[in-house]
Amino acid sequence: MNELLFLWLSLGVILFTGLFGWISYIFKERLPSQLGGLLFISWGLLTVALILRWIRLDHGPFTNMFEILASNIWSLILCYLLVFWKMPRLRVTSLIFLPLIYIMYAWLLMVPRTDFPMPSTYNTAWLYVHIGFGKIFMGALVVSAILSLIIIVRQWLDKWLPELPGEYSLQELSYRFLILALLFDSLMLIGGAIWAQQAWGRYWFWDSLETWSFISWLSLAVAVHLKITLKPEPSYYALFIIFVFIISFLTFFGIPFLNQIPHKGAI
Amino acid sequence: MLGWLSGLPLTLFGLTLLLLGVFPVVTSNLSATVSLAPGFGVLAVNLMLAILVREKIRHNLPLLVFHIALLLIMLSVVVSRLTYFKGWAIMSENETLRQSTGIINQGPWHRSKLNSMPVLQQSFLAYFDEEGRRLDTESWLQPFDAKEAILITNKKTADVAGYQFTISNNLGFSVDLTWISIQGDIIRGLLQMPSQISQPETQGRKLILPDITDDIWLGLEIESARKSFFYPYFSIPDHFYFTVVVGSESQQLKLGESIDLFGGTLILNNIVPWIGYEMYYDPAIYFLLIASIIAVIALGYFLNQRLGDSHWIQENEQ
Repeated sequence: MNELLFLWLSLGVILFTGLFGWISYIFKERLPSQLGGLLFISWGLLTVALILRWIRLDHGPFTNMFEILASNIWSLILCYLLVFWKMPRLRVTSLIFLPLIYIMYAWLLMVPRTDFPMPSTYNTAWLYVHIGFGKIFMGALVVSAILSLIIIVRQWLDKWLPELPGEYSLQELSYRFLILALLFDSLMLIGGAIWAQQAWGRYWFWDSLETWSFISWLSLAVAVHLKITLKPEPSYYALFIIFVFIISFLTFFGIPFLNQIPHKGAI
Repeated sequence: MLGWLSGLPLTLFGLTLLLLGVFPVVTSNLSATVSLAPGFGVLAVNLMLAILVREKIRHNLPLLVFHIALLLIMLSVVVSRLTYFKGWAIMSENETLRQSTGIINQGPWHRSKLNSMPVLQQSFLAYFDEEGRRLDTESWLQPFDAKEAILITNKKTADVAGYQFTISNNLGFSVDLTWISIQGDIIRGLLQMPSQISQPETQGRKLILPDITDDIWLGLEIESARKSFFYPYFSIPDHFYFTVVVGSESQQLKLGESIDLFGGTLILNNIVPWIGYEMYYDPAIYFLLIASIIAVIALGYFLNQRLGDSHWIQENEQ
């Protein structure tokens, strides 16, 4: 079966989901009850596409930008589905989450769909530990950034998304997702260091991706301490979280692009 | 004063210093050790005092473990930066390494351990495909204190006297030569030619002999096709000769031939393959890793205690 067919189907369903959600929200001022189900179907179709590719190439989606983007769209939707399921009050944030996913899908369609063999150094369980923690980190950070974006937009449109709680509650919620992101970012770095030691004989090398990962981690740590110590106004704090998100997003997707080859260490 | 030094505002300041310290590492050649030291220094003082002064930390076990683990991370970083070593080694077959060939960077307190624990390069096999792409490598290192040789491959590193040896891309040939001076002194040695990977066209080196002031240049001219000594694995070529240039005069020599120079005779015995390694030494990094894992687990436990009991979405503002 053609993996591309499922990828396109997934994109089609998620595009419909977003449009359906937005139109329903604009005209009926509420989200359609089918939104979660549609999102789940889109995620399921993407899962099938990734599994088919995995079977065809005999390795997971880890080796090039096409695979990394596709697997990150998959993990972001999964993380968001968990929030959607466990926190019904936040479901309306899907109106912001889905456009972000569209941008990533558009990017995915522009990236060459080249097949690469899996490097021998990727043949370790630490790959799954490192990447798994990384995906949870990015999922938590995306939710935190979406909540922060709502706080910022509410500075001009104070009645925007009234289903959601007030600014201070949103800030606290955003902060908690930020803490989750910090924890999983730390675990990702530790897992990556162990993998690097096993693969290349050093835990840390200060290559561009490692350096920017450290900068992202420090930005997260600063953001967490900023809230406790200076107790900033929600709008200012939200701006800082968006800044942390941009740094982390560029580290996740930008730096490997600049290096041409995804994180492969020094040798 | 103690309250301020042990407080979270100083932690925030330390983290910001650390963040600012990373940028010079990225944008210039400033050493990471120097650049990150102020941030780490502030955080170390802050942490130590927080553990000693803050009741809230001392009476909460996960929080105390987290802070002690952070302190261990700081100490490990300091020890690491003072004693680490990063360099490379080039080892010909049957050559004994007593010190690294080159240093990329090292801490001020690093003292070489290889003098007391030399290592012998036994044979190696570096496989290539027909297009000249490097495949796997098998190399055997024999530390003098070990009963058996250690196998290193592209994926498997070796620990010799605390140094992590990792195979590098480079390999080439060394000329095995003997120098017999007029006084009858015999010296045997190896002259490493440049890498066959990065400098295949310039296979020559200046040769320095005892008591000889003339400039001597020894070149290795390989006549065999490159593929013949790279495929299926890197080996000594079938056809080659040497060029010895003394001043403005040059002479071609074959294997085993000698040349009389002012002050003695130079005999070219053989060529042997060499392989390159990257070397890394950092005794503190294992502690750093363990302390990091403990810190994350303790922090996770503490946050679960603190946040797990309360509702994530709070209805009441502030």
